[in-house]
Amino acid sequence: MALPEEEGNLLRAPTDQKYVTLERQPSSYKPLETFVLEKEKHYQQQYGDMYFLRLTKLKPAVEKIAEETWDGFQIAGETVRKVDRVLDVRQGELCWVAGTIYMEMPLKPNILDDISKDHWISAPPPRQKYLSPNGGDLIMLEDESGRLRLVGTPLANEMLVTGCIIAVMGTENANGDFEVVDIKVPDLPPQAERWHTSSPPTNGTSRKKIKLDNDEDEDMDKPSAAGKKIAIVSGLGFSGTNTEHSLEINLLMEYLLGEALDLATQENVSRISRLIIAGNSIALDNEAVSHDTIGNTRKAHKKYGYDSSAYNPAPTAHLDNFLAALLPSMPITLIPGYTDPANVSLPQQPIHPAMFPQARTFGPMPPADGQPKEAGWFDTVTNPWDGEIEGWKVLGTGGQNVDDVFKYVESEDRLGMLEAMCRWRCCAPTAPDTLWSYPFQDDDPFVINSCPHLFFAGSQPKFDTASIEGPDGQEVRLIAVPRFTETGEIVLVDSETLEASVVRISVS
Amino acid sequence: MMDYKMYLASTILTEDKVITYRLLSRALKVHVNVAKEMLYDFHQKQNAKKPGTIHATYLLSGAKRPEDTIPLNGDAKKDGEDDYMLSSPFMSSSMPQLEEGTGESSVLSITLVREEDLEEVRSQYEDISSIHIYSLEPHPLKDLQVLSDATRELQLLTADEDPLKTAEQYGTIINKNVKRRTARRPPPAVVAPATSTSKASAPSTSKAQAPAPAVKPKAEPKTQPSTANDFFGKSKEKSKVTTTAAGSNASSKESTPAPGPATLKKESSSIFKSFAKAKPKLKREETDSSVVENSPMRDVDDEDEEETYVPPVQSKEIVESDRKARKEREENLIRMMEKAEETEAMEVAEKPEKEVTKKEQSVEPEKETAVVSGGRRRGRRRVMKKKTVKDAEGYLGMSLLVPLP
Repeated sequence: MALPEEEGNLLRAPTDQKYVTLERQPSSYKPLETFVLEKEKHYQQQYGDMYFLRLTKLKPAVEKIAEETWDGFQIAGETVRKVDRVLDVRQGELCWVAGTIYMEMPLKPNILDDISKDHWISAPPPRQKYLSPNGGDLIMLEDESGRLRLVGTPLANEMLVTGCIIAVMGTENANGDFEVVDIKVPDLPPQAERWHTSSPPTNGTSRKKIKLDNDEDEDMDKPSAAGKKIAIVSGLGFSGTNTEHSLEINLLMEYLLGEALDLATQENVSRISRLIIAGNSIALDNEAVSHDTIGNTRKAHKKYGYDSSAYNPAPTAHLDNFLAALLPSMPITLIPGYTDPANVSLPQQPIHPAMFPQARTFGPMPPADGQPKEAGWFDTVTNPWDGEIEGWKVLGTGGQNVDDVFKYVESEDRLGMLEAMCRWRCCAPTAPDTLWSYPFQDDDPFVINSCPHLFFAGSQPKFDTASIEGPDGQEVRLIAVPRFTETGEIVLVDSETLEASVVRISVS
Repeated sequence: MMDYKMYLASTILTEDKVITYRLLSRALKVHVNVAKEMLYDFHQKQNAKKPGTIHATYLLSGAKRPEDTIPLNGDAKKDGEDDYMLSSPFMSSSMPQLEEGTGESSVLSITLVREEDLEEVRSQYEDISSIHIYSLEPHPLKDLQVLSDATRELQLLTADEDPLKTAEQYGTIINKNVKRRTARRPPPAVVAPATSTSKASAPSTSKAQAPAPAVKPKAEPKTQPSTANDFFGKSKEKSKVTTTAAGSNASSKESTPAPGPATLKKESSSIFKSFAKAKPKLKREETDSSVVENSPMRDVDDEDEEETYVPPVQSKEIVESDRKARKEREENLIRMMEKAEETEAMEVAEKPEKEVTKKEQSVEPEKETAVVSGGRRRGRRRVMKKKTVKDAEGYLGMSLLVPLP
């Protein structure tokens, strides 16, 4: 049995030791408003425009890559030729073409099924995967001219979902299907260096740079000691009916406040400069609304005021208490998730601060005249959300995008899906097909224009992290953030190396 | 420094409470780390004196041994919960999965453990970086989740403190850059006790109100002689009231089905009938009929009474004759309305007076309704039978029953 060191052991009688006040490291933070919708939203538009916006934005990128790789490529003496439109592909001719993938899947939710639902006795439970076991799925490539069915072995090796933009090389066979020889994706978008738009704090980093030049040895251990951390937690799952995890959440709060554990740990905690809550802070309480035996919500006979049997304020009150306890000590970014009280369709808009009567006092100040709007200490943001933290471009979601891609593909590898999304340059490719989305008309904000340094998705079954590299030296740290209610885990990201570590809280 | 022993002894041993290091630090206004040491010291000394009197939970952190990969909660299927349908049999083929980079990242495990299980949990750790007592309790805790109540208790304890100012005292990590709006609303934690005080003050205000009406009739007995008489007379003998009520019920022209479980309000409305017959001679018939029809309706809820009271101005124009009497009644009414808001305890004592209130109140609107639609309604309504029913939860309600032939 390993005995704790002297300093970490608080199993001793009170001493006269004076404890120094720990001060938290400042957080450099600049949120971007890429996914903020206008106040006035219109829903009359057709969704089809989103695909064409995406295609026009990404087609040049994927064509450039395809051209570089396939230029002068020959099979049996025939040189590959570029075709502009899907319908211009001629039978037996070796060519390549770019377009949007469309997955025709019999098990995919269909609006017509919703109509026929009226005739079901009870609806089948939602499917975990849309893939049909007997190979009923068709992969098609479409653009503004038409669709082309894709066949061939390379398709099995590549992760493909509806809405991603790719280029394929091959020939059309006698059946009219396109035999794929090779596939190219747009790959990672250009990446700006650190501190691109926000400026680094003047004292901290500049001092370190000098150290870097002067003394290599000293630098070896310094960055780890001086490095700040960003804490990411997801799936806190505050519930009105289930208090199973309240102690774990309390322990998390005590840990983040620097009250739990010993002085060394408290010093480490003081380097956590910001907490990001990545979705699903409120649990889905089906029991909250009373149902009668047939399943209809019971209408209580009330004249006015809200009906306490249909609405349970406890979960948000608990979340508010949690936030209000942490906010005096650390800034918080709150990203909504699937179960949170925000709109369902992506991009989810910020949870209204009025839900948090205590925490909202830390919200953004009303901007003074002529001053730019400043981000609040307590920042409730969109999902997906992007911004700059400690100079790094960060893109994060509540996890719906990964969960939806998961339904299309055979793989269980959540990181692989995150990676694929980066390489497709689209953080929610399945919107608007199977992922609910706002019908964008002028711009598809899900297209990743500039490569993030850190890309995370909340509410994943388990923690996972990896670093991927792009063709031009881009580097992206991918993190699958686990659900706290299930794992008791939070992720700490180092602000210098972007390496992720885990703190696991458990009650035995 | 010594008083913490006194405090802990009284809280844990005498009051039989669970105390965590955070509660102790807030109660004694000491640093959390000192509070942890105090808990340890007290635990040691107390159990040295009398073993087993105090039980502890420990919080420890460090690196766990790699081999014990704890089954996560998520892996265990919850009972009775619908699982997702797996449509594809090929899942198994893809199961051998690449572990990408998970191994190398460090994991700090924090575990809260009972004293009894401490050794077992300790053995799971490869390296324990810190350990301290989390809480002390007089009995071993069956479910550690009860410790989360301490946080709630703590919120109440520190409700009136500004966390930005007290953080330093308790050893919470402070943040210089915190931005908070100056115009700060009182947090609900403060509101909660506030409402309880308002509840406490409610009876006191009602007490303040209560003597006032009691005094009033004495102060001006000449202006309202009848009411005052009623008040005092009826309060003396309640039984008389009920008998008169029953009598008036029987004597009423309309064949009102006398409800068996008549409430106080119901009663009062029937009393009113006798009154109504006696008092305003004007449009008697319609008044009478509408009494039967309308006054029980009003009984359903009190808010209607307030609403119906409003338009006496109109009725003044219609009924010019007894303006003076009306004024008196209005004064009466206002006073009675105030009384109506009083607590239930007062209600018992004021029973007779309230009945008068009901009488007076129902006089007002029923004249108007009589003018507007009294005649037509009567014919249609009469076929319905009304009954006061008591439902499972003990609420009284009206139900219209079998139409009479």
